[in-house]
Amino acid sequence: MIYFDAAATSFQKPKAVVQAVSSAMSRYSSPGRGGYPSAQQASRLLLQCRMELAELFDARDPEQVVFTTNATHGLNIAIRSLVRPGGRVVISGYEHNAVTRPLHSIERLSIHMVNTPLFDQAAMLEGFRSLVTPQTDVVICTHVSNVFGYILPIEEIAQLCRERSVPLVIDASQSAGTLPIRQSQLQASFIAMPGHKGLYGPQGTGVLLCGAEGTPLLLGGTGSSSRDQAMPDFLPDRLEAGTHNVPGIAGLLAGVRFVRSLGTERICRHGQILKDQLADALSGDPRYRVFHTADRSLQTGVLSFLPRDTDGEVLCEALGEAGFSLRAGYHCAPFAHQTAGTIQTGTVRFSVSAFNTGGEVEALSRFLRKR
Amino acid sequence: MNHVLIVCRSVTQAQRVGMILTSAGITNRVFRSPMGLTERGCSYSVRIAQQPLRQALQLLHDHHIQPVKIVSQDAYGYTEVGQHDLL
Repeated sequence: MIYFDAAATSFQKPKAVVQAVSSAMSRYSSPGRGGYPSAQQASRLLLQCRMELAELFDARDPEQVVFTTNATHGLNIAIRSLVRPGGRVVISGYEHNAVTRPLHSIERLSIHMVNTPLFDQAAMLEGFRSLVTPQTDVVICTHVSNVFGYILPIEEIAQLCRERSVPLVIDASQSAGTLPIRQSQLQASFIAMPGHKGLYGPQGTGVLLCGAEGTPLLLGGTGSSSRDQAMPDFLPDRLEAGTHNVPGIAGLLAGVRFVRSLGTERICRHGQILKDQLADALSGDPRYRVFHTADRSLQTGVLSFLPRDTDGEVLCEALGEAGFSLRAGYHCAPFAHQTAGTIQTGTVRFSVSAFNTGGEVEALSRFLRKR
Repeated sequence: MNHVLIVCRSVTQAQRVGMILTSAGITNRVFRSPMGLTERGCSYSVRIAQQPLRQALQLLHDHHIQPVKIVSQDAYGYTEVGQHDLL
């Protein structure tokens, strides 16, 4: 099987990640709940992971690195913290349901969407400039479209938010581990990311970088301030009720070290080269519509394409039978399809990790050209 | 020998304090705070010798870490120490 669905989860993990998860099962007990060695070692592991994440994302304080179960969990915390019924929110036209569904559940919310053409950063910036006002409660923006790999101008959007004193939430699901993210420069209120995609950790891990006061989504034991019936007023405990996923976090730490050893720039370039390889192979074939830009500042290693002669799901079924794992449909981002004009069809998505090779892409290209 | 306890709000803060002090060569031990020291319930503390306290507090200040309180421990029990007086 050749796996090309890394935008959903990086299925192939570094060996060190698998070993770390396995080893953690027999080494660590519950962090922050006891004073004996296995509990203390677990607490140290968590701190080490927070510190290395803080370094990777240039966050000042490791205590503002909160562990979540996935990016969706982090985004829900961020939205609960900043968005109130009757409020005003500005989002990009490329948001995932992890953002739009929580917003949809809030009463009388005024949601303003910046709908601009694919790969047109200037138009997008102009759209944000016209919609973000002092009355805006929060801007929520994905860093990279999970459907098209489109890199949004997040630094400029962050600057706009700072200038207008509007809190910013960044969905870094497709950029964490792939693009540079510097919280010290962005000064976002929250940056949510999964641990199991570009950070190569296990599923069930996620991270929320906090630059603002967070409202807990889960309430419960934290091992601290136990006599208080309110959640602690300090991070990370305030947002981390219940026992941690210690084996997962051990794996996440190994994944973060893998990313740091390669460097995000190298990982991103590798993905872009493979994406270009497939785009070049399909662009000359009239049976495919390919959503591609050669400008590498605008697209990561994610490529959507659409067969003109058959349904995307039917093609993916055939690909699966031939040993290729790709995903078709809406990718949980219907508004991105609405914005890009693919709402009737969805797309077939190709997405790579550091483990994919040019030979694998060549095999996929051959299959798609010959079918 | 008299000791000082740096009472922390969470295990994360305590482990962080322990790591910073260790990096500076200050011997320390992270442990569960005695119940009598924690009005709000469970917490963790970092125990160090009395002598490097001033250096330890300066390090924590440099790292923007604010402990809950500092208490000295002797044969008679615990006595809170004013942090600002020591810096």
